[in-house]
Amino acid sequence: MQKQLTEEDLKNMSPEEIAKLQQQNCIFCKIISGEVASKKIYEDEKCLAILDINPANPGHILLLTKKHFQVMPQVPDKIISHLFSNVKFLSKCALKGIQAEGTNIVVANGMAAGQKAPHFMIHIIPRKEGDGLDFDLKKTQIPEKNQEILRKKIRQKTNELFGIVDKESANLNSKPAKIEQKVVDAEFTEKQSTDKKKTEEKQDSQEKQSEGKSSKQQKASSKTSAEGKKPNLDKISGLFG
Amino acid sequence: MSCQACDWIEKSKKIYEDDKLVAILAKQPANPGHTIVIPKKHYTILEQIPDKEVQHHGIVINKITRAIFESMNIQGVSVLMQNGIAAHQKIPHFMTHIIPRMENDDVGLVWQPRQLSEEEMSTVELQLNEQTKKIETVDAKPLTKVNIDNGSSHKKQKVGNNQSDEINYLIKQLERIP
Repeated sequence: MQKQLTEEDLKNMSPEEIAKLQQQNCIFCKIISGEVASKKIYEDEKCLAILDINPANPGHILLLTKKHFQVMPQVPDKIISHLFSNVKFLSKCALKGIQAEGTNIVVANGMAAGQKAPHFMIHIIPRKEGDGLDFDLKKTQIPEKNQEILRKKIRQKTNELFGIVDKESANLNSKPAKIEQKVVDAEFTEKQSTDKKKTEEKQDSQEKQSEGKSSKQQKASSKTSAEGKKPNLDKISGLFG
Repeated sequence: MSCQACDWIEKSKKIYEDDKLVAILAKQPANPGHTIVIPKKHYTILEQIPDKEVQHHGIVINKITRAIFESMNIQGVSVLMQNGIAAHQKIPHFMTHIIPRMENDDVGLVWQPRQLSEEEMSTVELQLNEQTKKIETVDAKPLTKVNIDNGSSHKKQKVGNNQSDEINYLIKQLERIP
């Protein structure tokens, strides 16, 4: 019999141990193994599609990876690419099978994005005009200068993950420029952010030292040279509070 | 009338670009860092995009999601496709939204879970299962479609039904020959 875990036990556990515990208690892993019943729509070696028992709309499909991942960035290329083509397939099935007029495809990474269970899934939600659901996006204005700073930041990190060195990122200093207060606000900064940034800067410069040997132009195909690097688990496991 | 998205592809500064798609910042973001991944070819909806290209989309979307996670101080990331007008699609050029999230940021993308009757659920299950048998899946590598034996479905799904029909027809043809 499993001993009852105290709060202190949980505090002393590493992120990996916590993840393992989550997996053992994961209802979706139990659905995949057949321990818990479900309404299956499609299944293959890599994924399982089931009906959500508390759907947003009739025909709301949950497309699950058979392997337990918490959030999308943890999923390797081979699996995510397979999943996305199944998203297209299942969306088509919804349009034809239940005469849906459209579909919303949603991935919620982290509690703040509405993630309810720590097992990665893609939602395929059939839509009909006037069905009362709201997947519209609000619109805000951001000064062009701040947009440009953000764009460069995301581009630089994207290049790192793809293993690309292009002219733009080569011009950026290894030390990030001083960030203006407006941009800091625009990035939702909280009190702890300065500490987090210091850790990230250290990580960035370490990553740059280990990479940067190839000099391909940015139009390279998605070679998985950066696939071996695992996403920062600390940040991700913290997403569930 | 020219396509707004095609215009963005041509004129905007990029986060990422390859021969099939681009990633740019949204002009009117839901949150700072709101990125849009747009196929270069003018596809209207997801179903028009060839499977291999959709797979490529998945890989790029995933990498950019991770890039956003790691380069910004945020608590989550939403990925959203608005496939069709009923799904709030505004521009008839398919695109995927990647949106940085913070708690109580008022971006939404949530829904009220509904309770459907067992009958409704079973009907939908049957209708969808009918389609998954008919429509071809990924053309890249054929994977074994697992024979699903659901306690809740009303009939057993037979794999290879078409094959046996074909064989029967051929036998009937043979029997006809004098």
